[in-house]
Amino acid sequence: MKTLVLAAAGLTLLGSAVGAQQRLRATGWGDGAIVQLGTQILGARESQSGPVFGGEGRLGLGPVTLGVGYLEGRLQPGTSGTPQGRDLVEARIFVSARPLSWLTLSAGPRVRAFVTDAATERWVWWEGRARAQNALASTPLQTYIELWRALSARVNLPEPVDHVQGGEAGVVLRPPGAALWFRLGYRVDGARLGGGLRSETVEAVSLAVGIGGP
Amino acid sequence: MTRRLVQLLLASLLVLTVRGKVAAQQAATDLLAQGMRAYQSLDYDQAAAILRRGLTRTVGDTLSTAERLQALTYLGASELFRDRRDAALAAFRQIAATDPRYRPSEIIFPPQVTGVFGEARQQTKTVFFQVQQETEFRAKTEHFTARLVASSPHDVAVTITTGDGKLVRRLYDGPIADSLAVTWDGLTEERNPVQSGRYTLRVAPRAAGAGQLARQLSLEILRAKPDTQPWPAGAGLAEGTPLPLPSSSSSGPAVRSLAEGLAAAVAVVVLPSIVSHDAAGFKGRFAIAAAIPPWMPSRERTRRRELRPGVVWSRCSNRMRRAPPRCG
Repeated sequence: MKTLVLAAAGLTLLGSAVGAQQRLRATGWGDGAIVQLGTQILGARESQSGPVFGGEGRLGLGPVTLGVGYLEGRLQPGTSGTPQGRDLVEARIFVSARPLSWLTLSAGPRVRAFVTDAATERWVWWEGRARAQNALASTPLQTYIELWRALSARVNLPEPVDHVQGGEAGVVLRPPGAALWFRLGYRVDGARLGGGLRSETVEAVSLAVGIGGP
Repeated sequence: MTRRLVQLLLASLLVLTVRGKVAAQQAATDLLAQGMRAYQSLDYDQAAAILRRGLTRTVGDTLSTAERLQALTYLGASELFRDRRDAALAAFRQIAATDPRYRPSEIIFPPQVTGVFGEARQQTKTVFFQVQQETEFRAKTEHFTARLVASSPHDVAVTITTGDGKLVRRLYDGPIADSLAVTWDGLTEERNPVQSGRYTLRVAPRAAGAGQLARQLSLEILRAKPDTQPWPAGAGLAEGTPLPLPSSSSSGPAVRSLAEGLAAAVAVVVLPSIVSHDAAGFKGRFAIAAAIPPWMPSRERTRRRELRPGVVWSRCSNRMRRAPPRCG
């Protein structure tokens, strides 16, 4: 039902934009990040980290933007915890709108999987995001802060999901006259399960190179 | 069952919305191609009917400007060979009013067509603006320049008026051949700098008659506030004493900018504790936090350069209207 409501909202906005003969805007970027995964189970902590690469593409028409993102990488164990590495694969689809020049609201599903030789931990959640991004006048820089929270989440772990939330902040450089822009950011998300019996945190420092609007 | 039905309806709606737009676009370009083929087959009646349908079917920018000019050329040529000279002239006048530089290919079209096109162009008296979207100039000593390109030689009156049509400044009154550069120093007829507001650059043909098109360009003038302290009364500076340097009178934007940078930097540092109490806190984030605030000083430098006294910004938007022959 949630899918239908979002699809209907998206189609309505898309339909109105098409009706208004607006121009299609395309944006895309490639993203390289160092990711650190921290897992805490009953007080015992383990961490893994590694490089992750991905990209995102967006198509905007009028006030609405549709986007898809994908990233993938291999995380290796840190000094403590499990000796086994795991692959991280993540994808998301979202619809976003910009009610104010500096504010973007978006929503959509995200899937994330941690794949080991023995098992795959699968997350699926619907998230709502709010992003504030503003240009620093007279400079080619923009700063941004983004916060999000899962509206509903599922995972194939024994503990029930309490909440999943995250945030991102950083700086965007768009050199004058250049088609490309660069973004340096830090993002973090945390999931709490089973009333605090288990928690997972994914942090990343990322550098993105994009074309179109940042 | 109901859920499946709703899904099917939404999918159909999406397909119809997207297909409807594509179909309209294909129809217009297809009609252009069909019309050109009919013209080449010497079926001028058919060509004129198809092209006219294609041109009238256009919604918004379904046909690009280049395609529209091409369609009008073939339509004019077809009408000419149907012995409908007036209809041909009307089509060619539309071309001349759209793009003064456009000429039908002399390889494709016979001299009979290009001759009538030239005649229509001569009858159409209008100009086109070539201006920068945004200009910054110092009133009195510098100027704003607009290049006018004429569809054919004629006499024009170029004026600056207020939004409600009141004359501010006469810029030019005389003939224009191919093109002409008019300049405005930002002053009124009384040689005072204009106030911020919306003004109109208006070019009107001086002779009355059919085919006379006035053009106007909306200018949004923004006067920069002087970035200097008032000159001290009776300061009595001795000859040779260096003049006081301009100083910034407002630090608000710089502070706001600094706050925005700091907010992003602080967010990078505190996000782990806000989002997840168990986060180890990636040390690499401090490098990003540190990268944000040092950019701030460049903003202040640039701002100081921008705020020169008496500087005027103009922002332009094009408008055209069929107008009375004389400028008020």
